[in-house]
Parts: sequence; structure tokens; C-alpha cells
Amino acid sequence: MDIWHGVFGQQKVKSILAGFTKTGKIPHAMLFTGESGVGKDYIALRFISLLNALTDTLDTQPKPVSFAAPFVKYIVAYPTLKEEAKSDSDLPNSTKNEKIHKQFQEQIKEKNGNPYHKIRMDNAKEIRLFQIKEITQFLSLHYQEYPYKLVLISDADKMNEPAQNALLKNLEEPPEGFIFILTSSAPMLLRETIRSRCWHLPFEPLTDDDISTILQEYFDISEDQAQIITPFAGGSISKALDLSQIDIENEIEASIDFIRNSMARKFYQAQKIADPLISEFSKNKANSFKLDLFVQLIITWLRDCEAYRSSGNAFLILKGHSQSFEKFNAKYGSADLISASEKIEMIKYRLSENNLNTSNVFSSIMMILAGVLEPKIAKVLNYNL
Amino acid sequence: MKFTVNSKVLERKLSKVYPAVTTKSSITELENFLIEIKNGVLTVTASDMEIFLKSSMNVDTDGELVAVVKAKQLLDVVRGLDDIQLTIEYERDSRLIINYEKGKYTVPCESSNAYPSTVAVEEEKEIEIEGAFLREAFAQTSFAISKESIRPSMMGLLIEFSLDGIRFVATDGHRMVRFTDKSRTFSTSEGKILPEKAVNTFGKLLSDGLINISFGLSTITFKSEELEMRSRLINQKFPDYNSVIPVDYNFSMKVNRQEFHSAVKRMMPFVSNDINQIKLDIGKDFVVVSASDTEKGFEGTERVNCEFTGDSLVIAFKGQYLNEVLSHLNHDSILLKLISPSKACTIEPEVQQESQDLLILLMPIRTVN
Repeated sequence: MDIWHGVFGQQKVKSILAGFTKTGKIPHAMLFTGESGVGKDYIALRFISLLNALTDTLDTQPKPVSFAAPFVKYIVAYPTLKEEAKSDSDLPNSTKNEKIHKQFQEQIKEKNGNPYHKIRMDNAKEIRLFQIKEITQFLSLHYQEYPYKLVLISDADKMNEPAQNALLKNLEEPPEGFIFILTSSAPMLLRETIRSRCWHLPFEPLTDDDISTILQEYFDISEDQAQIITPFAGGSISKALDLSQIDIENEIEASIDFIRNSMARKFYQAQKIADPLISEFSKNKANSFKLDLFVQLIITWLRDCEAYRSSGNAFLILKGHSQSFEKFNAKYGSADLISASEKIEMIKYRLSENNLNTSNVFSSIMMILAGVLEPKIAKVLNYNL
Repeated sequence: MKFTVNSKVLERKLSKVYPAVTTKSSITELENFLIEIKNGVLTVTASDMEIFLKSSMNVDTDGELVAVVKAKQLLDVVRGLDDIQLTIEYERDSRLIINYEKGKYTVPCESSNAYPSTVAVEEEKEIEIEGAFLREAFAQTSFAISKESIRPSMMGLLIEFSLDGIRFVATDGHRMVRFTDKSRTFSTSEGKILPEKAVNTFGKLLSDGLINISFGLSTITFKSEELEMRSRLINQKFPDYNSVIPVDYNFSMKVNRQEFHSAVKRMMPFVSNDINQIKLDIGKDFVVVSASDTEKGFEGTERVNCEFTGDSLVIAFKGQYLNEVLSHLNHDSILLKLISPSKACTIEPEVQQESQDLLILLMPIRTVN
């Protein structure tokens, strides 16, 4: 019997967790790290269900896998309850809180039906102190019928300062049978004292095949669309779903136009293509999704074009654009595209790590692309980079 | 299948178990009643996974059913009906149809598989106590249960069964109540912590007659003829409450409880929100009760006759705590046993009820002039 049936990827993590179940030596606090949308919450839930099924003394039926199971305390970022906030509309506070709770219940229901669903609640930015207090209450009660109980804190880095402080005490010495699993795509935002109390398990990005299967099975996305999306999803279901919301073909066309204009040194035209992205990013710096995608598409085009020279259509990601590769290679068959793609890759990496000026980023990319066909520019650029 | 039942009898049963229904859980099924009929007995169950309430009644039917029905809607419908005989029809996993002479109501049902299974843990110990006594004990002690989750063990009422009697203890770190009844003795020696929600809910539902109490490691069940109330227990060690009770005292103040409480109650609006202090300036024959909110200019003082064994003492308590303590005593005359203005004060009835022992401990606060 495959104990992880239905759980995609993460072979290493699954094997470590299976090892825990065999030895019975289970860390009381674990930190699952990795990109959002790789199945961290789902694996945590399956792990606890597995533990309870293995040690079940009351009946032989495994307990139902549900994020709302009695032996699971599932904590996600929650909106401010209206007792805390200043009332600014006519609705009574209890009605507003009821609405928030209903939304939470609906989200949990959807998550139970689709474990790869990302819970999203309106105005939910933080995990708050009252949620951590609920954990204390959960820990204090007897649950003899369930040998293992799980406190699952999703996106734990969203805990605000008081919540992180309050959690520490519980993390230190939870009662027997209680396991804390914190999941995070930005673990550095957690206090060192929390991180040091947890056993770290890094999650890997999912493979393109897994992403494609999940998109088709759980999100009703056609195979064709899934094929287009997956190469740019970076192994994350969340990113893949964001991609499914936009017209990716449009983005590809725009990025090819940008490359064409940059290489032809029509910098004004190229800048015009990049301007909407720059202004969108300056409005909401937290959302770099479109910007990242655009840069990734440029890198992908350069690599595909290089791959087309040696293998034709065989290994292309942008399969529908082979004509552009053919035309380019006919004219500039010896242009060094790999080196350009590596330089842009470096910029993309710096973009995610540092607070770079996006206008300068695009200027640099334009120069790199212009240098592909103009060795003089490339020479100056090499010096600058 | 069909069954017939009197509307008022059904309403009473549903109302009894309704307090366990919760709309705040992430388990949406807990907003429902679980209704089962087997061998002509209808059982209604509700739970929030912490407390479980179950009530049974005989109905006229030849069939069996297990249905999960929206609790609020069903109770509202039944509550609004006159005292009449209802014929209720059940369509499997689909709906309940309530028929009566003037009309019919349809209530949708959910699959019974989705309803979380109620706790089925062995409760090997069994005892019997009168419901009226338990209700009284809960009422007298529950106010001191801690609301702060920082100390989970104090978020419940400790019930100790022993050869010496039954004892109820509650504390929040600022005050403590210990109520002992020595006439009810048990061959076992056990202490269980009942969560506050169970204390408050069961306290309202306990009937006067004999209650069968059974308990195990994780649950406790109170069973009367018409209702079964089960709660998870708090899995924590209750603080060693005996160690904080002073064994000796230097002074005692005897005062008429009602007069003293009335003075304290009148003082409450004058208690400042910041300091929240009621000061007792105790003299040989009287105590001056005072409170002030210097910022807003409110001030109140009142003299209450008392008998004090010392010369004088000034001590202050948090107004809300002192008021609550006095309102939970129903004795004519009480004794405040004091050591010093900074040490715990114990409050006891001057004359304890036969075979009972009630002691309330209250921590003073620093006096602010």
C-alpha cells in the first residue's frame, strides 16, 4: 500500500517522515520550508493522519483526512476581528465576524476537497495572538482517542510579533502526542528562537509533470493550457494558478517584441513595452509576479533559440514560436545567447534578493540583448557587469 | 420512514442539547443535530468536540434513521409550533418533512457520515451525586475560573473525589475558591479538571435528581434520566492550591455580608478604571470602604459595622474581584482572615453549612492613596 497515495513529489520529505513513523521518534516541532504551492500543508496533514492510523487502538478505520479534523488545529492568516477594529460601517460587529468565519469555513471546505487549494481570505494579512491562544486551549484538552494531534500553522512567517512570542512557550514543551508543524516560504521572517526549536524539512519545487497533473486533476485546467503554464511555474502550484489567470501568449509576444527591439537597438520601443510592468510593480512592490515572468520569458526565449540550433523543436519550451528561432538563427547563427541568458538570470536572481531599481534593471537587460548582436556594446557591458 | 412525536416534548429535548451546537468551528457539520432513531427511541446529539450533549425520548415509529439536520432551523421551527402531535417524515440523506394539521415544513438533511464521531473512550469509574448539589457547587465556584489561556490548567474547575469528600477548586491566580462537602465520600481518590465551558453549560442543564458521573482519563460524563452530558477533561496538572492557603492569620474581621456587599456595590461606579481599587480601612468596630477616581474627581466612602480583632489595618482589593466574591456568598455573616496588607486574605462564612467547608482566597493589591 502506498501510504502517500495522491501526494505529488517531495520524495525526500516523504521518506524522512515515513522514517519517523517507523522509529516512533517524532520531533515535536517541525518547520516545512519551500516555495508556496508545493504541498507543505497537505503533507503535514497526511503525516498526522498516517500516525493516527498506524497507532489506532479504537477502530481499524483510518481517521478522515480533513483540515477540520478534531485532532487538527489549522491556523492560517486571519482578518482582524471586529472587536479589535474601529467600526466603520453600519453592519453590527457580530455579523461581520460571522461573515469572516463563514468565509473561513468555505475555504476549509474547498481545501478539504482540493488539498492544493491555497486558503485566501479577504484582508487576511497576519496570524494573530488570539489564534495562538486558541492553540493553548487545544493543547490543554485530553484527546485520548487520537494518539497524535497536530497544530498546523500555515505560512507561519505571517505571525505578528505578539503571536510569535506567545507561540514560543507552546513550542518548547508541548504535551505528549501533540506535534507542531509550521510551514513557510519565507522562514527568515520567523524569529530565530522559533526556528531553532523546529526540525527543518526543506521542500523541493514540484516537477513540471506533477504541476501539470495537479492542474488538470484539481483545478480543471486543460492539458494544453497546463503545458503552456508549467514551464514558468517554477515548481509551484500557486504560481501556476497565477499564470492561469493571465493571457500567457500575450506575455510571450511582448517579451519577444522586447528582445527584438533591444537587439535592434530600438531602445525607445523596448522601453515602451517594459513601462507598464515597471509602473505596476512600483504601485505594489509585494507583487513581482508579472515582472518575474517577463524576465523569465526573455531567458527562456534565449535558451530555446540556442537549443533550436542543435536539436530543432525537440526540447523547446516555447514550442509555438519556432518560427522566431528559425529566422533569428538564419541571420545570427553564431550569436552567443547562452552568455546573455546567464547574465539576465543573474539580474533576475538579484531582483528577487535585493531592492533594485526596476528601470535600471530593464536598461541593463536591454544592453545585454543589444550586446548579443553588437560586440562593442557587449564588451562595455562585460566591463560594467 | 415516519415517526410521530409531540412538538413540546421534541422542543424540550432539542433545547437541552442545543447549547453544544457551535457555529464557530471549522467543522461545519457541528452546526447540526445528529438525530438517530433505533428501537423506537429517538436520540438527539450535539457537540462542539469539547462538550457533547445527548438526549433521548420514545417515539411512535417502526423504522430506523440516522440524520444530520441544521440545528438552529429545526429548533426554530419546532419552537414556534403549538402543543400538537407532529408527524415527521424522513427521506434518506435528503430531508425531514414536518407535517401537522395546518401545514408542513421541510428541513434539509446532510449525510450522516460527515458528522464527526463523538468521543467513545472508556470511563471506568462511576459515582452518583444529586444534581442540585452539583449545580450549587458549580455556581459557587465557577466565577474564579481563569479566562487567561496562558495558564491552561486554571481554565477549568478541579473536582476532587476522595474518602474525605468531594472538593471543587477554581482559581485564576488572583483569587481562589475551595468548596468541600465532607458528607459525600468516595472510595476512589481522583482529581479531574472540567473546562469552563462544560461547567457553565452543564451547570444550567443539571436536573435536581441523582446524576450518574462516570470518568476516565480524558472524559467525564454526567448522566441523568433525560440528558447525557460529556466533556473532555483538561490534560494539565492543577496548581498545588493548598500551598497558597495561609495556615495561620493575625487578625479577623467579622462583618454582615449583605451590608458589606451593598457598600462595595455602591462603590463600584467610583472605582477608577486604571487602578480598580477598593480600599478597606478597618478599625476596631467599623470598616471604611472607599474608592476614588482622582483623575475624574469621583470619590466614595462608606462605613460598615464590623468586629475586628486587631487595632487597625488598611488593605485594598481589586474592586471587581471583591464584588464578585461577595456576590457568590449567600451567608449572613462572613469572616475575613488577614495577616498583613500585602498577604492573601481568606474569606469564609462565619458559620459553615453542615459538613461543608467554603473558603475563598483573595489577593490584595498595593494601596494607592
